[in-house]
Amino acid sequence: MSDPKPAPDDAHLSPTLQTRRLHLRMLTQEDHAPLYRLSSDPDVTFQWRFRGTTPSYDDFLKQLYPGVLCQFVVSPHGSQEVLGLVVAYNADFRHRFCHAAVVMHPRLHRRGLGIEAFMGLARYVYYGWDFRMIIMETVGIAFQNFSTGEAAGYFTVEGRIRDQFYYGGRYWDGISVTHRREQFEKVMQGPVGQLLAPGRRVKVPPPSAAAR
Amino acid sequence: MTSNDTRSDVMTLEEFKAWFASEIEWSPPEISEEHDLVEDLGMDSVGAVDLMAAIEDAVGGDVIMPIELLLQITTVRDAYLQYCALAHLPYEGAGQR
Repeated sequence: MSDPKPAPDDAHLSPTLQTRRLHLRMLTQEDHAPLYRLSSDPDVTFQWRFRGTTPSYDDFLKQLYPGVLCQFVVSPHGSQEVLGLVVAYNADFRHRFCHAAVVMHPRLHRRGLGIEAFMGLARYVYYGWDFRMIIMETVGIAFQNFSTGEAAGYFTVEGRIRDQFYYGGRYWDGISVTHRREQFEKVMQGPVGQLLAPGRRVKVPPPSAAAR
Repeated sequence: MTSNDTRSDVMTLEEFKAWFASEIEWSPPEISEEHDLVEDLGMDSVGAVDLMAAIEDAVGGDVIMPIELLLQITTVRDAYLQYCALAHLPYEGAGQR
């Protein structure tokens, strides 16, 4: 029986890992040390899986891959610099969902680049698997960096465990959000779509030249 | 003098503030150039996406706001300065515009 849906345009048959400012690339051995340093950054560690603990380098590496469906280092265009990591994991193929996590360098927080990296991952995941939703678990202190996204239709808060995590002298909620396929398709019509669209790059002078 | 210096459609700071207050959904109606986008105006990552897209649209030409410029934005004035920079920098590989 033939597929009733029209065939997609051939131009869209290759999944791209390029976003407007970033590229998602394969994790290589050279990325391990920068990611290990990032995982222990005080502004990151409590929000990442290690929750402030300091695993040995070997233990860190052992925990990088189990359960992973796909993961990519986040780098700027034209560079191998490690800006962060996006990962889809714990895929459930029967019920058609997976989990995802994003970690970005603290200097990039509240700049929209974490959303850009996540949307690049979501595009890849929804392209390659017939998943209905991507689930993210987050901590209240990180959630406040993107909480307005619920009203904007980026995701839905599905659950909240009050005062689950201790950090910075107080307890923070644990929050579960879903990003559903239909939400992805809808937000792609707005500014988020622009995050994934190609465009024209400008030549930025190096800082020393700009200061002269 | 390059062709970069001749753009006449680049907003002044006062025009930019008026544009910001009307175009950026999360902006209050009155803003000062000294306002910190995060601390004073409550911008989060989603708000930053709106701002980036709006500035790119205001500059036109399907231009991309580079990360280097993005990271220099803390206040409304910074946003204006980087908007101006984006409007004047040459395209990569294409010389002046």
